[in-house]
Amino acid sequence: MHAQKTNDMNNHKFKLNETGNRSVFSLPDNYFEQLQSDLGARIDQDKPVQLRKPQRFSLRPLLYMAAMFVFLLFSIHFILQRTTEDNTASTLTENKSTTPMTAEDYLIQSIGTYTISEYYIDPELFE
Amino acid sequence: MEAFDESRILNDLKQATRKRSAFERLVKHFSEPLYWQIRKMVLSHDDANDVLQNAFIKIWTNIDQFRGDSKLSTWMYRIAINETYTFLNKERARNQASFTDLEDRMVLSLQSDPYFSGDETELKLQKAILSLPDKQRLVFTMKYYEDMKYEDMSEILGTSVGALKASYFHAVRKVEAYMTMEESF
Repeated sequence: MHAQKTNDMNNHKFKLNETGNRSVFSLPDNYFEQLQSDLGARIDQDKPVQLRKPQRFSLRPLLYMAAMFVFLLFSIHFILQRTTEDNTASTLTENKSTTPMTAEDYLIQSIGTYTISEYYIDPELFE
Repeated sequence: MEAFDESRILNDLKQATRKRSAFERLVKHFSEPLYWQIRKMVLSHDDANDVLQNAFIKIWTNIDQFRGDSKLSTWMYRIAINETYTFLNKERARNQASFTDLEDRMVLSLQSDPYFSGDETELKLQKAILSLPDKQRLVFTMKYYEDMKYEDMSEILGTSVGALKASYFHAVRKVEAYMTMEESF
């Protein structure tokens, strides 16, 4: 039975060149005319619009320059302020050094911290 | 009817004032062969129309980049084929959640398609052709339905004539085997 079926299959082999390649597909009437106008409409729709350059783009460099100018002004002000403070401090130090030394100042300077510590360490001092 | 002169059309396409009318001539000349090539791959008229329109819009958008390395028709065929592959891949991705294959769905929708007039055998033949891999199906449809020269196919697909002949030969064998099997049941 199976052998007979295989034999039948071999006898009825499908051949493409015997069928022919007739077109079984069709399309709507006037399709290609309609396609032209559909494409025309799509091209018009997809046409890129020339956008006007917004105003803020031309103002941007000016804004940057203004910001930099303000920053520079603050920097110069800060530097000048610091220089003035330093000058005042050095003037004060100079003034102090020119003050005449008193007898107490001299004694403190000549004794020194080492001598003072010796007084505390040497027990004979407390006897 | 005005004869198609490729170099003249190309020249007109480069001039802004003549570009639109040159493109219209291009569409008039190539819409039919490109449509049938796409239609044999996607089967449904509506899908073929979408793919063809997208291909022509791509051609219009990129015509300035056409350098003339190949024939204009070859370049246009390539764009149409790429659009067809893109469509089929998108449909496959969309169909992934479904239990039925895209090819089965295409055959099913063909049965109710008002623009398909084939009988039962023709429907089986379409099923057999759909069983081929995409590239082989493309080679098969170009040769079997459009009777395109192997040399032209080679230019479009970038495959050697020998490889195309072998591919078509195998495709015919596969389709015939499928049909023989189907008819025996």
